[in-house]
Amino acid sequence: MLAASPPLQKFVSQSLAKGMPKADLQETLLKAGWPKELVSAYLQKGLAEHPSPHGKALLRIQSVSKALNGRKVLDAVSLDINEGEIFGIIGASGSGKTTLLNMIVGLLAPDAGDVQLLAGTMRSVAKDPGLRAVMGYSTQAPSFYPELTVEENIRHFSLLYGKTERQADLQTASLAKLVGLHDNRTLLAKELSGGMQKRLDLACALVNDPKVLILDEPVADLDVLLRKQLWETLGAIRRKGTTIVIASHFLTELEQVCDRIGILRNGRIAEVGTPDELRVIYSRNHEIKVELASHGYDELAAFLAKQQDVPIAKTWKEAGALRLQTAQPTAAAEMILQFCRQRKDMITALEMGRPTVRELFEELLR
Amino acid sequence: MNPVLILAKNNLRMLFRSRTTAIAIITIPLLLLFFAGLLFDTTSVYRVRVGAWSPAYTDVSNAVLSTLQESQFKVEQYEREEDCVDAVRLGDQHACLVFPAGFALGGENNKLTFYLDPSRATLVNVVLGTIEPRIESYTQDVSKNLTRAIMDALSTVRNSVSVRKGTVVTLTTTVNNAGFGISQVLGTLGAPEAALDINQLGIQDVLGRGAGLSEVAERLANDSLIIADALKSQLQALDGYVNSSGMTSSEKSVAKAGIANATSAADDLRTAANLSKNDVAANNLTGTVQVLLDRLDAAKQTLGALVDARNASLVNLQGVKGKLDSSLVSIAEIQKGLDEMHQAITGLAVVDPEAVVTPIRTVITPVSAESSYLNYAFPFLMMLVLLFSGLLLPCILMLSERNSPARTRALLVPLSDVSRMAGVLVSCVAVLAVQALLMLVVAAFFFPIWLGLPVLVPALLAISMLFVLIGMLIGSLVTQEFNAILAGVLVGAALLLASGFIVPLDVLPRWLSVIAGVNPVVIGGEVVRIALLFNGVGFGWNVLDILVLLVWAVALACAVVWVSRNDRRLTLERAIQSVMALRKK
Repeated sequence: MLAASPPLQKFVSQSLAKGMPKADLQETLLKAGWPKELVSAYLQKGLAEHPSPHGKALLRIQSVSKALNGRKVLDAVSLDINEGEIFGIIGASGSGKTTLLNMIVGLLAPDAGDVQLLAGTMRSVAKDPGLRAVMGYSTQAPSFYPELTVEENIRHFSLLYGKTERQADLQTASLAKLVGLHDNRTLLAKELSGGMQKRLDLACALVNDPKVLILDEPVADLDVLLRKQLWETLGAIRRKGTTIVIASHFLTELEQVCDRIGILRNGRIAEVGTPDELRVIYSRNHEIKVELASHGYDELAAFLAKQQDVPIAKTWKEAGALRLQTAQPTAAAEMILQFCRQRKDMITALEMGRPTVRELFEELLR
Repeated sequence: MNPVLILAKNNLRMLFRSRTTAIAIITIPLLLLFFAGLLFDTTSVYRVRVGAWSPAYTDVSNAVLSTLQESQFKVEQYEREEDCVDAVRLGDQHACLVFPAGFALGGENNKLTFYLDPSRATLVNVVLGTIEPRIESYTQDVSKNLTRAIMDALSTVRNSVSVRKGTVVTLTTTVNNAGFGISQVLGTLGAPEAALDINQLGIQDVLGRGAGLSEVAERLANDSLIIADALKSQLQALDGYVNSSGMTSSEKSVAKAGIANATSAADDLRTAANLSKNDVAANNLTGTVQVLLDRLDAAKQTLGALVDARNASLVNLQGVKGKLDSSLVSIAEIQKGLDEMHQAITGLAVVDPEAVVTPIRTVITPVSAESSYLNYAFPFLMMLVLLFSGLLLPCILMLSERNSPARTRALLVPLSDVSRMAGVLVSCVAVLAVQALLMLVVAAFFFPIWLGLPVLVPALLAISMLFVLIGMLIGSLVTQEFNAILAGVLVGAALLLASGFIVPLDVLPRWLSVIAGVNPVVIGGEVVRIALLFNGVGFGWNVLDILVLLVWAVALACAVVWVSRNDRRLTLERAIQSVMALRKK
């Protein structure tokens, strides 16, 4: 089951419940700036269920609540994660991402609700610790023995999951190769770089050939190149049919690899959808990036702010450019051109598009 | 492979990966043994320096100093008492012995003063412990010699009594025999037949009959003349008959010779009869008889006196015999007394002078064959190593695991808590086994251990497991390695204090003594002691001991698993909280 966007869902459900015709509702939503394709989809599906790109739910989180130190960290979280998909979870610090992941793998028991895994039938992870055998978990801080070598770590956990010596040897070699540590397999784990440690941790999380791979901040502290390598590796793992759940701050990259993303806010799932869905759901604005030869961005911003008929939601300078968000991107672009003509300035770059998930996320948290 | 073994193998691998840890595990027991060996090395005793002072040395004080020197103490005599005492203060001497003037055994001048520096308590004990026995030994030697002299004197008396006793016996016999002889004499003299009645001798009758004796002699001589004449005539007739007989001349000559002999005899008879007749007539037989009678009368008088004397002697002999009897009783008493003395001396149970000096002597005799004192300390050392390794190793291992980055991953592995704990237990026991083996190998160079191994090995394993379980419990209860080590040391110290190794159990309060009775260190120490020192002889698992160990093991194992389960949840939640706190920062 895929939870719908709560505000839109609520509005659509209430309108339909009140007997509002779908055509009127569609017109209202379009006037409010909701994308046409999304409005059509919601109205067609009746908003009862979110379609899953792969269909079959592998992991079901049902009304899970958890309090730690008297503070409610998770509050009735419900979520379906489908077989074979990469599911991203984003949320601010303390929003309950790690707690949710710990409950998914069974390290924490929920105070209320249940986490179920499809193993023939849906079985409670909390009540059936054996289900952990089909889950891999890469924690935020790498979890392995620093005093052991790369291959000793992989081999040790492989043996603990019931592999024979021979199988463990083979798997150690293949995993070391998969995560790019084959040449460093005899190094002690503590001697590895941060990126290598992340990859070793990932290898250790894969020793049991998990059906579900849970990754908590897998690319934190990694440089761009290492992040790219890791995402590629995850892609390779996913191609083997492994379902992957990722909690990460790197929203820009997350939206590139995730099939769906769930936004966790104040212990609740605020929204679930594909990155595109989220973009259109959370932002009626478009984003314009403009670069001027004169770099007179303050003047441009002031100019735009004076334009009463073209509402500008937000302007900010970033990386030698001025960025702005507006619901009327075409009119805003015309205003920018007008400014340049008046000042005899030259536009060196002009980009127009939807805001990224990160921006949406920041918007959401605001 | 069994998950428990995988965990244990991994624990050991990580433990020994750190060279410092590996070296520590292996060398600590050996170092402990080495230091213990140094502690028990008696050669250090010989470096004790002793100062001495006396206003006037005596033979006894010189002998004491000689004894110390012979014991390889370095003895230095001082001119002044102050110098000697100052030498102790300055540390030049370990002790100063001050002998009083005229130091002697016994009496008032036998007080030997030790000057020691109490601020160096350990040294004081060492010095006292080394000097005192030697002085005591000397004193004992002297006492022994004195007592030996007494015993020698006693021995002489015993021999003398033994010899004299024979003389008394002889005397007794002699007196007895004399008494017996007198008794016989008295019996003989006093017998009725021995009594002499002179009247009964008939001397008067003999005197009366003496007068008729002359007549009889004359008549006999006359009759003899008649018979001789008749015989002679008959012989003559016979001769004529022979002449006329037809006998041969030889036969006649023989017959005539016979007749001639008979005629000669008849002539002799006639002659004798005539002589007798003449003698009776000529010699006055009556006078002779009278003389005889006179003599008899005199004899009678003499005999009468003799009888009186005999009677008087009988009375005297009776008195003598009474006195002899009385003496015999006295001699018997003396003999009895001598007997008793002899028996008393012979029956003396203690004849060894040393036993007289110290009637109840404490002799420390080694109860096992050994070549070093190390074996006495070995059970303690063994338990010390096992105890602290058993307590600290699992603590460190569990907390290393808990604080290890691998903690989360290890918990994700679908293993039971029992398996996880068993992994720690197996790895720690394996390490302890290695340590015990090392110690045993070293010990084997000093004293035989092989006979005790069948008892020792299972006992050590059982005790090691218990110690490890206690350590695991500590490791489960605390969260920081420092606290774990502190707790381990404290628990270890408490177990050691109540083990009898440091303070004898007998001097503990009763309630503490009862608690100490179930102390695994006590039980283990006893087993190791018996196994090592007595080669397992006399060893028998006490049912109560087995029960105590079982209760310990089960209780500890349950506690460890229970605490571990709860701790696991707590740890994770704490970890999550700490991550959250970190992020907020």
